[in-house]
Amino acid sequence: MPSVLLSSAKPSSTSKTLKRKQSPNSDSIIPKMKKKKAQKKRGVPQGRYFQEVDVFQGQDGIIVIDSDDGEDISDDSLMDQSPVGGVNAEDMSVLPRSRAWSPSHPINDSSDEDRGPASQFTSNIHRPESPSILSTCHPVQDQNTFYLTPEEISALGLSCSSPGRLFSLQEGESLTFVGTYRLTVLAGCLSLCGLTLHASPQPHDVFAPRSSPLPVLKACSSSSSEDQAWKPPSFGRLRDIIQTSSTLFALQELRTNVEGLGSVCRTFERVFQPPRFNGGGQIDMQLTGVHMVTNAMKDIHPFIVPSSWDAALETLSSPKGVDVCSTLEPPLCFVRGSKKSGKSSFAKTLVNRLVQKYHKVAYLECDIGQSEFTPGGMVSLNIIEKPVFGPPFTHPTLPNQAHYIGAFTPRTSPSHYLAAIQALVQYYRLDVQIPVDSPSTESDSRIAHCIPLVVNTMGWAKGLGADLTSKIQDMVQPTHVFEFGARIYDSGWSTGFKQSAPDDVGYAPPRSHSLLEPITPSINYSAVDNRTIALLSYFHAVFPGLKPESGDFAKDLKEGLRQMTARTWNISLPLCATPPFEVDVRSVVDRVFLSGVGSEDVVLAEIERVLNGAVVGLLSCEPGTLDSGVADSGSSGMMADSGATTAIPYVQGADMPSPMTSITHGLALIRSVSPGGSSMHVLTPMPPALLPTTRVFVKGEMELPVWGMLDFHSTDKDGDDVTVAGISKGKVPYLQWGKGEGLGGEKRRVRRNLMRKAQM
Amino acid sequence: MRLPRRVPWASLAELDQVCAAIFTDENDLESKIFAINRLSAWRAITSLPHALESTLALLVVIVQDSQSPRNLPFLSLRQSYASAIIRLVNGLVDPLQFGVYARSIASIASQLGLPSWLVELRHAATHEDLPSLELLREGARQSMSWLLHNYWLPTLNPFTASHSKNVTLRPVEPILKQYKSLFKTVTRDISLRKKYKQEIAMVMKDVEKWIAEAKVAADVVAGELGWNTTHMIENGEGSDQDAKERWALEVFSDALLEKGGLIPLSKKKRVFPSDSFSPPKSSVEIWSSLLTHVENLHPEFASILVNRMLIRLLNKSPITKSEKSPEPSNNDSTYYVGIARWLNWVIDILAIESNEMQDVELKLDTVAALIMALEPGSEQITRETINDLLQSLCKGDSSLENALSALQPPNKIVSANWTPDDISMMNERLGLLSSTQFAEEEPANDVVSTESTSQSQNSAPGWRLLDSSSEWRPCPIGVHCASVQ
Repeated sequence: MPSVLLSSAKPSSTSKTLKRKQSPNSDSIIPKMKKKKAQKKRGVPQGRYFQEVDVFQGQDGIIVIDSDDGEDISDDSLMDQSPVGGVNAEDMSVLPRSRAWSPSHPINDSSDEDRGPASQFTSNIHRPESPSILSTCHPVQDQNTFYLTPEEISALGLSCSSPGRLFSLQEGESLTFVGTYRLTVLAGCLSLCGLTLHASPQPHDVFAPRSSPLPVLKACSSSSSEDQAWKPPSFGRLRDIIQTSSTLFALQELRTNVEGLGSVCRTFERVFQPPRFNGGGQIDMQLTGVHMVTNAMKDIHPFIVPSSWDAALETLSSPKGVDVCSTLEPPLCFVRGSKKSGKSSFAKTLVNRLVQKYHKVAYLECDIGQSEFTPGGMVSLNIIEKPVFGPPFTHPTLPNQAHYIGAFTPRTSPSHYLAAIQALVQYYRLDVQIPVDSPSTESDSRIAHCIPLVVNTMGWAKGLGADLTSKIQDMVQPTHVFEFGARIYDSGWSTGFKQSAPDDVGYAPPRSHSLLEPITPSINYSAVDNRTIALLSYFHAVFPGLKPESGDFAKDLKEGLRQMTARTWNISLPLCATPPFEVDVRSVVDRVFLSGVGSEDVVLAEIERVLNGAVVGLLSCEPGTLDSGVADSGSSGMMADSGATTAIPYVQGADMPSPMTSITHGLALIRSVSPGGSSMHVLTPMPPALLPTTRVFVKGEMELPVWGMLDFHSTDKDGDDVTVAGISKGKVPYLQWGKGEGLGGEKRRVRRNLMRKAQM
Repeated sequence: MRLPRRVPWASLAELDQVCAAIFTDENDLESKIFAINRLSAWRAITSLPHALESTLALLVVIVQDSQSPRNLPFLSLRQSYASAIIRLVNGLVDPLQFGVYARSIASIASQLGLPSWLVELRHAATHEDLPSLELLREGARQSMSWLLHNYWLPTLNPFTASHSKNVTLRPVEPILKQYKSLFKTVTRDISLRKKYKQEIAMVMKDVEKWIAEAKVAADVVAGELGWNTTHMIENGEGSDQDAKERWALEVFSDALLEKGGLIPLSKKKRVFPSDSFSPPKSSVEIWSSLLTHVENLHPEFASILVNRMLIRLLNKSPITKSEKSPEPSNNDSTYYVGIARWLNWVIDILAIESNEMQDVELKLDTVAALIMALEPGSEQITRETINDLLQSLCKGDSSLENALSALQPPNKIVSANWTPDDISMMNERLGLLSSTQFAEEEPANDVVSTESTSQSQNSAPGWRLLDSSSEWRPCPIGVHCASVQ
């Protein structure tokens, strides 16, 4: 035993994660003691930098003989180390030092002399090391940037009239902004988020909160003729700059209220504003809601596309792919990998690339924990017509077809999950892949006669999860597979990757299989945080389609294959004060289903209680679907109680409606149920045009986040004096402040990284 | 801001109703079935506290056992009993495994006051022959009674119920004493290191064990003090445990800061090196191993230790009022000097060694707290110490040095006469100060109006959007506010 040294008392202490916590106030003397989280998250950073050192990561209780002691097992050498043994202070400090801001891909163009004098001071005080430079360009008012007058905005042909600013970049220069903005490339070409935008009057809405990696706008060499296709008129004081600059873009205000979500869920407070220690940017933008940032800092990370991603994306367009685009069959892309490897970011980049070439792109979401376009809990197929820039909560979209699972993981109902995906794949093949009416406009050179598919999968990549993912892959039969390798030491991706046993007969192997390098998408926010903000964003979103002229809205969404993305948020009222719909249960609701572990034990007498405050999926079923359930549910278990009277059409223990004969339109919050169940008060952001078809409510395991139950209007800065809709803290029903008194009053918690005595 | 927790009951009265249904009459099956139905419904609403889940599981078996027409083999009953008891014990003990190493279930159970034979029953049911029906029935009965006394009653009567079993925490001082004497020996004679290696490892493990125990004890203390955590992320597993860890580390820090801890008891030994603002060399040799060790395992330790040091240094009353705060006599100035020097050491050496960039922030915050303490009228003795400490902390950081020199009163007393130069000097200082300020917070963006036009609301029959005319009023989620047609 003395020779075998427990190398690390803390298995993953090298992979410390900084968890961002907001502390508006605290009793301690030191005002803001930032919280460090070590070891809570297993294996978060997965960059190349960590690979040599971090051999213990994710392995609990590994026993390693310290290399120093390899030959000399004398006890002296052990004590020279720190008392624990292998964890010695230098080891600990070396790692974080060498960590660049994006561990997998540090920016190379940082040079100290580039730094402006203004930033010198702040960077000194905050971080002694030289930070990565996010903006290499120094905008100088009226030299390479101009505040645009309303006349100039209309003269430039910009499609919206909000205040804006013109920027000119030389090739290789970059600018980074935090906030929300509308971007129009006027000349040359600009790359951001792995996408190259060419000059076009088409604006792009960019959402760049600090909670996710920021897009870096970089001017790239414009060689292609595409860039000359459109040029803005040059006039007045802008004549010179328009004619001479290689890359020119306009940045306009984009006011959506999305930043108001930060007051709803204060974990995301101020994420659309620069951090306090920001150098302030070199110029006064004179625009609301968008700020320039110069340096990478603790909570500012650039979004950088690793080279292996670029290479993999090229497989879609390279000529050796036997002109993928011209064949009738569009590419079917399949993204897989373990959690937190960057699947969603890659899939989004993939969609953005494809949507430049195709009129429409279909996106099949199989990650029901963190969905890109819909709130979690459902598998969905979304049609995307425009590139999206921003994290998922900034583009909630009505699904064109979806099936409600009701949980954030398929663990409890894997077969229902697979059936739902099967139904969506079938829908894609029958109705989407080759659209019936392909609108062809002359100005649009994009391919319209077929629609490619991008499939994003969940990160549960072990055991049953891996099994499910490969079953989905068999259903989709992708032409292109993009897989995140667990560890890639060289920058390698290889097309010649061996397919892992496609043993099914008749299964065509994918045309290309690319290995990708993992990135660390979000370090500061956990999956729970992202889920919370996504759900709250959905309930506060204002979807298009409220206008009366969109007569057959539902038809437009389902058959016209349109993208319906919310562009504004209604943050004026908290959910508890938002006027709800009153739903007449007898005339509207055909059936209520419960799903989730243990839900079969809910008796009819308790159903009103269970639905009260629940998040439900709104479904419509084909005629006949609901009949089957009633017949076999006549006999109930020993807990059956007679005499319960409620208007809610619920049958205990009924199976969920089959995805083949039902579709999900969206989510709703049942904010209250009237006694007797004859009416419910329901909140939903769905356009009213969709509501008449939804006649089935399904309650799963999803809950409204606690943030959604609070009243952000009446919460003071310290949060001590909380009221909800006028009711003071402590008297609010269904909420409990402070911890319970008794033992065992907490939810069960599981620890999987305990070490045993034998390992001491 | 501490987030509330979602609970399935509207008020404690509903919980009370269920409690009464379960425990009032042991033979009343009807009311037990009511309780089962209610708990099952609650379980579908949100995840239940572990004690409630266990109550439900036990209740189902008990009801099953007492229903007369029995058409299942008894084995199924034994299995149901066994799994309910196993899950009860595991669920109570697992959350209290705070340390790196597993503590024995029996030791945690005894801290909780759980009958030890339930732990044995759990072991037998898991690894050995399934226990007899008689034993399992008795186990279920005792489990229910434990739950009644340790969960239901304290929860329902939060103010009157006294904690029947006070979770005890042994003092940490003996461990520290042992550590100190060990390291005194070892530092005097390096060659003894080898000999004492085992003992040293044991002491370190003891410290770790004590911290884990303290976290369990924090459960109770935190409840009493109305602990206010400084963060507000709705992350079920994070915040609670952090609070406990903080509490444990604070108690530990306080013990270290007693005389005879980091600061030697004898004033003769408080010989401070004159060339640098650091603690006595001998003390550093003794204590640095322990401090580094704890810091490695608990990254928050440095900041908590600094915080506790500041509290002592600035003579503020500790946050936790109940604990004895030993008042070192005021004339014992070398004690304060010692604390200040250790503070400097912690920030300069300990924090930097292990933290990435927190140290910079820690330093900034400390300097800010110290500068604020230098307000006019503060005590002269500590003033000098704090000044020395500030000088040392700010050394090597030009921006901090500038800020400090601007803030400090000039050494020579300026003549009382007003001269025009004074205003320029004031301006200069103002300029310096404002340059260090944080970026101004942007005024709250005025909300863009997104009045959803309610033209097409009537397109959905049966769905009626309520508004003020229907007398609907804002109310918490879950409360039904009747409206008029």
